[in-house]
Amino acid sequence: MSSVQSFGYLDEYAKKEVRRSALKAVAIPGYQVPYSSREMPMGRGFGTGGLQLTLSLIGSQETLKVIDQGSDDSVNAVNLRSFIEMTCPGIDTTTKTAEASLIQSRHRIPEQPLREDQIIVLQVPYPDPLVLVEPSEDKRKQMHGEMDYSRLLVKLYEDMVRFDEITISHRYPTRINGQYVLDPSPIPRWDVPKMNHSNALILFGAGREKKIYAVPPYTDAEPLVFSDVPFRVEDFSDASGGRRACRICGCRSSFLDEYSDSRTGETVYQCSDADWCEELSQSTEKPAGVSNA
Amino acid sequence: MGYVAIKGGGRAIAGTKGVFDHLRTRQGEAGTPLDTDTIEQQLRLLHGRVISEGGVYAPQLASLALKQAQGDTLEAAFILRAYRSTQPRLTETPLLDTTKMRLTRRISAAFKDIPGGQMLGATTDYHLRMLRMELLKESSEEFRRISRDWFSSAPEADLPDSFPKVLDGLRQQGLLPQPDAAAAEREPFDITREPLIFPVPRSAALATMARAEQGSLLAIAYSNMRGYGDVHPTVAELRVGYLPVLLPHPITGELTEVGEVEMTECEVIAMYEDDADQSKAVFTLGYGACYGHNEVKAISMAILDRALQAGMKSGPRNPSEDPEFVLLHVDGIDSMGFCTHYKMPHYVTFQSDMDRLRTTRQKQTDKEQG
Amino acid sequence: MLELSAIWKPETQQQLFRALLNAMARPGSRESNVIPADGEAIGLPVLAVLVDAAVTLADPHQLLRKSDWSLLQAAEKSADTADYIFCDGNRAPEFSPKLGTLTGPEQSATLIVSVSGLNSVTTRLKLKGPGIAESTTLVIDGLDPAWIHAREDWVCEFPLGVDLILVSETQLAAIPRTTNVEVL
Repeated sequence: MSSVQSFGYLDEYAKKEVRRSALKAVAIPGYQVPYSSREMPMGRGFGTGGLQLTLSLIGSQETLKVIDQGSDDSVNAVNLRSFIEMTCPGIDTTTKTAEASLIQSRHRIPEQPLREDQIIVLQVPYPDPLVLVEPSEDKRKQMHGEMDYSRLLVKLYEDMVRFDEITISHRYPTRINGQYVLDPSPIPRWDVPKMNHSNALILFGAGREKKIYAVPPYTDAEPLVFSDVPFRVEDFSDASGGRRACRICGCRSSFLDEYSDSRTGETVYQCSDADWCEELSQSTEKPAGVSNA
Repeated sequence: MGYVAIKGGGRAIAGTKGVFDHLRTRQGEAGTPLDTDTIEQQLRLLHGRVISEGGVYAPQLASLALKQAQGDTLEAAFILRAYRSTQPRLTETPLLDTTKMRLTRRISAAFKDIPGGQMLGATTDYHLRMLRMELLKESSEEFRRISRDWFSSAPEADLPDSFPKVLDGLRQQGLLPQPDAAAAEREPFDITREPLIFPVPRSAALATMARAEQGSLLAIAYSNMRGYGDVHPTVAELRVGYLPVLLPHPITGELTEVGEVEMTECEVIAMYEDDADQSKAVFTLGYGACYGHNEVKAISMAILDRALQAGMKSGPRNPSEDPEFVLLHVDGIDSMGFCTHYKMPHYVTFQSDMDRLRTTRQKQTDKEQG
Repeated sequence: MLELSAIWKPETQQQLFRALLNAMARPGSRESNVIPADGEAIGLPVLAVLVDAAVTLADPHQLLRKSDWSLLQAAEKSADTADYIFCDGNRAPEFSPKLGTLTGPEQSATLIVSVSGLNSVTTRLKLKGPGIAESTTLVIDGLDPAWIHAREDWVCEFPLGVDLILVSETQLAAIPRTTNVEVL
């Protein structure tokens, strides 16, 4: 018995269903379109929703980039990429954001602004922002139908009363085109503004929860806030208030990973976006905000 | 055409595949590879469970999946399920009649005497759970002798054909609700082609439970048995056997037997209630069925079917009556996938979490000092 | 052996889908050079990408041949109930497509409308909304003016509505329900 599959692993009917759902998702920005979601040969939670989108989109002329936590060499990114290389003969893969026509990512949107001819697919564990306040999917569907997000706002308000700060760190609820509120996948708050009037189409795939949704290009994407409490991205200031720099490329304008140096025990900072860091390290002309640390 | 060069991440994955496979062969020179027939026959209950949770009746591939997964039922069911995704769905069988099952076991807890009689068959129910030390060093000769002797001592007349259903008698007495004739006409919900959007029909619930993870079903059914619910079931009939699968003949169109699948089926009777169509009260029913010989699963499913029907009718009063709660949490492939995904790197989100905690603490410090 | 037209081949369908996705994401943008010229009914290649036995299709203007139906595999339904409606832009729409529900706006019809062209100017539309940076102009040849008014009625209560895919012999463009359309 052969386990050799057609181009893109999924059968053509499965791809058709994903394609129909993706078109609906784009036509109804921010709305979670349900779809049947086939089992993939990797775990539910490892990017099967993003993968089904990628496999339904990809063609032999594609240049694909796969990242996890901003890194092309993260084990899960490597695993997904080699599966796609194996099942989609003829495609190119790259680590360079600028070269990719299709990007599948978990937890990050690249620092390098995307172009109109690129599409980014984000892997989603929890597609529904209302799960913070309502466990029943049926009830959440009603709330979305009425575009009733009052309980989310109450949760934010309670945070302010209790901690004087909104405690949502990532997966920040974001209102699309002034209508639906979506879960932007576990990207940091740092990446949320990149969704607003993006040049590139952003697609979201939740395999286990069986939902596809989208933010079309040039569409309002506004984090849910109160008028007197501004939305704030992660703060990378040091004790004296200066912006921390990446220890490799010196960039002071990227999202940083923080860890302790195993030799010195010192806390060090490094770009989370591996390609961004690499490009800056090799470039002689550094953009503004980069110091030669 | 160009691919990304293999670096540390790729080498780590290749390494883990190697060591995982090595552990399978740790017996070294003394070891012999497991053959798929051995798994299918000697670990038949494990094998049946994987077929049932994988949701595809492919005995040899289920054995292969078990061998490959080194005995992990969740992983093995998952491999089968992923294989299933690549297969087109070519046709559908008509509704199959389980009274036609070739039975290997059949009991009723409701009546001492049932048409066709009780048939205990192969069960561990009345085994003394004491280790059978003689199996530690079982010789091939002894193994073959058991196989030979059982057949020679079993008179052919004892090997039954099929039996009527226990419930038929009660139905004739008018103590059961009439079968929902309309339900048989409706197209059953296909959970492999449609997402569950609640409320879902009973057929969607039954299909979901039929390939659910056994332990998950048991845990939720047990909550109902203990008092988070009130099904109080009586097992009207539990049957294990082989169900003939019929398909229309490609040329004549006549229904033709194309094979058989091993199944376990359970019907439970629960507390009576007023029937919508009948003037007098009748018992209520629950139904469970799954691939393989798996009685715990079939009984759990039958109890949950009853609980869910009650929940669909009058609103859930406890978790086991809530279709969304039960049906979205019993799939082994979904739940194990999400559970294991927490092992993946979450550096970015954790960085974000630390940022929130530090900011909040700073504000609290400022407040204390101010 | 029967040689199938390119529109039924997975590679063609993948490329055409990408064009459809881009068209839907950027309303009014014209996608050219993606439709294989195989002498099929205008719009059929798009149906071949979207439709199979899992969905229903209406053909109120009878543009499809019997052989097309068997390859599309979709069950036929009336235009008032079908998931996909294939129609002739030259004729005024005389049906009420399904618009979805508040909890299921995706259960609405997608209209594939065949038009004479997307280059010459018979109808000039100014489009605004998601997917459009400021505003854009779409010119259509062979679209009955009644379409614009009918669409306005269908999409006035977001998220309910229909999404339009306009297909000419060589080009396609989309107008999803979120697009604000003004006739110039």
